[in-house]
Amino acid sequence: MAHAVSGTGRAGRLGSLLWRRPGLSLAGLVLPPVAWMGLIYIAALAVLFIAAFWSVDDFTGEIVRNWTFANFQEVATSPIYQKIALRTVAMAALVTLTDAILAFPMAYFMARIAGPRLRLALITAVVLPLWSSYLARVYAWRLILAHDGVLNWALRGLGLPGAEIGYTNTAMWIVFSYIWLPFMIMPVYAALERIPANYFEASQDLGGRGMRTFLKVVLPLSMPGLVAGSIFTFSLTLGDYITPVLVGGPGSDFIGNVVYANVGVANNIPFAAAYATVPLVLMAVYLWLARRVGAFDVM
Amino acid sequence: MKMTAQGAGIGIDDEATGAAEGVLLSIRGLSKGFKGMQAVKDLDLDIRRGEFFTMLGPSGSGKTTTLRLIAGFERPDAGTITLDGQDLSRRAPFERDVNTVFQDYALFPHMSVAENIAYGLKAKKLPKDEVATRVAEALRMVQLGAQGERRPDQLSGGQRQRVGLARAIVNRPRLLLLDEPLGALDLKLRQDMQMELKQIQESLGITFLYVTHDQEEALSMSDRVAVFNDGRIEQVAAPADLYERPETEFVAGFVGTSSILDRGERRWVLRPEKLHLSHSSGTFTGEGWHSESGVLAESVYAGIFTRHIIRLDRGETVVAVEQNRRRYIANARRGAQVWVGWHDGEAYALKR
Repeated sequence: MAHAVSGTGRAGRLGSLLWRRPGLSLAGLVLPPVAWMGLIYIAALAVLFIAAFWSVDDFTGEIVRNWTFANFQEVATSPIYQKIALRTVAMAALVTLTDAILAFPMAYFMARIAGPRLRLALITAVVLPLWSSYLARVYAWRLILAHDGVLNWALRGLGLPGAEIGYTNTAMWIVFSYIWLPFMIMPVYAALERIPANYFEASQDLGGRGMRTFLKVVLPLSMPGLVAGSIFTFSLTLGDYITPVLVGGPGSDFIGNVVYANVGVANNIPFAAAYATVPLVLMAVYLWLARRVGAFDVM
Repeated sequence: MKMTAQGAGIGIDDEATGAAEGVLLSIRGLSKGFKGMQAVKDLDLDIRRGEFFTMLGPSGSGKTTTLRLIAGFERPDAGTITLDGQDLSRRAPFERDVNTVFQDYALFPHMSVAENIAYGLKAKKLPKDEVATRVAEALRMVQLGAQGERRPDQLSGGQRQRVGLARAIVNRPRLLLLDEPLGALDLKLRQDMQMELKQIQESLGITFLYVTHDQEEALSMSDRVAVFNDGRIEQVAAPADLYERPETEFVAGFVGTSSILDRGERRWVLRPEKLHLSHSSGTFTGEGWHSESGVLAESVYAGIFTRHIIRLDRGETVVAVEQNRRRYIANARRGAQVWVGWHDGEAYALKR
């Protein structure tokens, strides 16, 4: 004991050195993540961005390292690429909205109504699918929504007409909304759980009916959770290219599919890089807007 | 608004006060239980218009539950609550003409001070200019005139509680409920706020229903006090009556300190400041005096007064407080023989 207190051991000497030099311990704490961010994350992004200004020799297929805006020009002017980008963004927005509407009552029930045991069971149920493979879940939906799938089998069993939604944008919307739902429920749940019970009582006490209490107190205070959840659902949908292939139809290509095709089939990495900056810029704008409305102030 | 001191009777007297004019809030047969625990047991209570009424009791005595039942945050198992002759029992909190000041303020953190205060007025859909006028007036009343644009987290605890008060009184409720509003403040601020609350109550003429576990606060602010114990009311009385003539042993023990002695017909409630001490047996011989011998077990010097603990020869221990005006018994040695005396006109005996 006296050994540790007098600081004669190697660990003790290090400890007292760090105590005397607070800057040193701060550097030790921050340097590894900063190095990681700088080398692996920022650098990769920078290379992507730089590559977007290169081009591919039509004849040899070699990458030509001369500066050109041609890739961006094509992204901006080609009706097909515009349409695909618009489809991707619209789907991301629709999925985000759907998940927000589905998640809110669920999160509210978990945070404010369910008892401790039911709450734990529900949290487990919400998070459990994330342990299973993404691909397995998307294939499961393929089996459900296909022409001869579980859905139509059940509908016909009930004597109802079948729903022909397999391999369409509707199928994609359903699958995306299902897959990213936990990422919306959990932050909204966390935000709702943090609201003290007496805010609800204070609002009612001051004459606030259910709607006013919801719009003026509950919704603003759960906004950080909704924004955090929407950042997940929006960006995850924006970057996806597997679900469009597996459950989407012929007209369901996403930005990610075009990037994939250009990297693999067409071997046009500069164009892939240029098109990949579109979701990046969109996400930056989205985060900037979220900040503008003060979403991060209350986080 | 003046209170008479002789209201010390039984808690509730239906014939005398229940139907009488001047009763604002009337509670009859109110009961509320939570899982395995009966918090409020068949409670009757009348609160008069314009009075400062305090519900005093230890934690878990049912006073806060009673307040929450009146506010509508809890639903009663049985009983009625009538405000100005209207039954509140079936109304939601937002349909009741009462407002609450919460112990931990419950200010909305995403709204400015002024927005917090305007919340109730906007819920009532009052015109904009009237909302603005009344908010400004309320801010002035709680001495926060210049703080309207600030956020609750930029204020001190005392300022937040003023906002909580302003947010409630701006609605001009018929009854204001205060749930240990000064509980989180330090002593000096508490004492200032006590004075201020009392002044605001008198200038507005709003009936205050105040919950506290602090007997000094209850005695110094209230027109009448109800002492709660185990879901029931032990006694309702004006502060002086409560202290000087407690009706039950619980009240005698909870409001102030007292030593209780069983002496034949009588059961004495002896307050420390009403006991006299002497070194000689001959001091307490006059008309109406009672005295007993004992041994001084402990003397604790506390500046203004000295607290003596005396073990009586008949077995009980009593506490006597003596102002340090003279240095008479302060020199007394532990173990010294003393006589404890009290007078019929000063001490009080419980009903048997």
